[in-house]
Amino acid sequence: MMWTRKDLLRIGGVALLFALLPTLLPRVGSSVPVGTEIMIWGIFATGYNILLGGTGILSFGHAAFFGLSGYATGLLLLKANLPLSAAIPAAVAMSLLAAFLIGALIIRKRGIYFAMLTIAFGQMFYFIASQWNSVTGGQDGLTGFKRTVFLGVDIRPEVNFFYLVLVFFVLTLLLVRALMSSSIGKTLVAIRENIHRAEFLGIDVKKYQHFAFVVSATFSGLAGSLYALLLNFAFPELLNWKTSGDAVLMSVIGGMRAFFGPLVGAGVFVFLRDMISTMTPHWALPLGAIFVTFVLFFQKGILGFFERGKEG
Amino acid sequence: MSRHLECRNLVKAFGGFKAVNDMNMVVRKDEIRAIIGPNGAGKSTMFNLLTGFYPATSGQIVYKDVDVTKTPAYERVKMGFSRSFQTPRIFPELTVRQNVFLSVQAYHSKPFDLNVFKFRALDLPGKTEELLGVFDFTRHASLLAGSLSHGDQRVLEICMAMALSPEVLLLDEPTSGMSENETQKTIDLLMRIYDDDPITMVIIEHDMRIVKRISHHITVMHQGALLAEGTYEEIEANELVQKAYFGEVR
Repeated sequence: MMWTRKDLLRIGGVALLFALLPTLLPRVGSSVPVGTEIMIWGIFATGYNILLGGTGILSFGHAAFFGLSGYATGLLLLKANLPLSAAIPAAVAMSLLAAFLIGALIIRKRGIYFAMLTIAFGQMFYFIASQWNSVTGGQDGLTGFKRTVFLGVDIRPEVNFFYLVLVFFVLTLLLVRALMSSSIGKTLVAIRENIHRAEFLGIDVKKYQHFAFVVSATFSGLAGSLYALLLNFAFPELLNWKTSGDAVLMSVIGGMRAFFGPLVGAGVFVFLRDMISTMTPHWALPLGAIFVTFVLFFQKGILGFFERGKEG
Repeated sequence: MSRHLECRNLVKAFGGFKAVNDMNMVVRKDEIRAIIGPNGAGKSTMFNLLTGFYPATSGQIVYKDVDVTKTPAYERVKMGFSRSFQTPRIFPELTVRQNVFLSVQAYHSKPFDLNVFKFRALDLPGKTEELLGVFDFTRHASLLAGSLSHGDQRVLEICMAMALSPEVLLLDEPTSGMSENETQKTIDLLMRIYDDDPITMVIIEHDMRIVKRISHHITVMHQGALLAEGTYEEIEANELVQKAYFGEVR
């Protein structure tokens, strides 16, 4: 079986909870797009965590794949007039390809050097997006595209788009769960736990690390595409390495060793950011304090704190 | 007796320092070979070259008549190599059972192997329990590997190395840091494994009583090169060795 019954129950429970959000959120003074955003960041963070929590590799470059796919979605709609059902997969495929190529170049570097290179590559994408005015709209961002119809469903209304994202979100959870409980996922964990032992079990470590990099970036791409559609807008900050940092933050806050950790982190992150930003424009400050608190006192994150020692 | 593992004029330089300097050695099939030598003689470096952990600066490593000098470590493992490290390299935050399971799975997997049916037919959990039993870990199987005593971690690493059904097992000071009692148990275990199904073993060891007990041949290294080779009695009687090794250490 690809999933245990417990997996299906838990993912089903999460799906059900989110399915209720469009009715619940407006009643607590929030709005439907907040729920959509939590799911999008949930896709980003859950995918990202294949790399961070799963394989033990820190990347600050995944915003590049997030943003690349966001811009690609907008451009494909705007300039190529592709239908959404083609534009989303094409944009995601571009992130996959970019991650494959960049990964091939840098995956041999370890630890801090790898992390630095991911920043370098990510910032390269960021500067291209903010300078190449004729294509990307430069600092003003890319506008003029609108989400319309996806496979016959009108996704212009916020609620309809919410449910489309919900489908991708649940698929992401199922796929990542299946991956991490497969023999490949266990091999990734072996690499995370001790790279030398993994190598001397006969595992081609670099190939698996490259694989994890590409797969996680593909989910970043999916999230980025959906995010651009949520806003009908793509802008350079999507590609900034700070956006990658947000994924790290979500994984750490929620707990990167727990499957739902990054999702919980994404929820807390979006919720707190929205709440604090209504009070002060300096919302990053209290959020940073929360991050520091978690790193210092709750290293295993919110979920890790409640279920100690359990793993996959 | 065929040549199983061999190195010819092997050199490893770190900057200007040659840790292994023109080393030659032939290990025969299914023998237990001890490598001894004073601290800094280049034993561990030599091990790291044989297993592919370090690339060699020059020279050749030949395994079953195939030149493996440039073969990456993980491929050598697939050819039958298996090793332990001086400080155990295990998966500390996983349970003992998961440690062994991952080794069993790795042995039976091709790269990116997702053949669920094959895995089910192989009964990997069953094989895991079997190994846990042989190495007397059944009672501790649910403990985190990192919480085991140092000695038990070393035994666990040997267990993981054996999960790969190796043809040549390389152990880097398998009993260092163990109590007298643990050392005895570990050596007994190794001999039991060997007697059941002989494989080639190359063991770096400081304790001469252990060397005497288990090894068929001894290779003595000094300053990165071969000093002497022979049986325990021959080595014991060798003047060069006495001067370089016994004289220096104790």
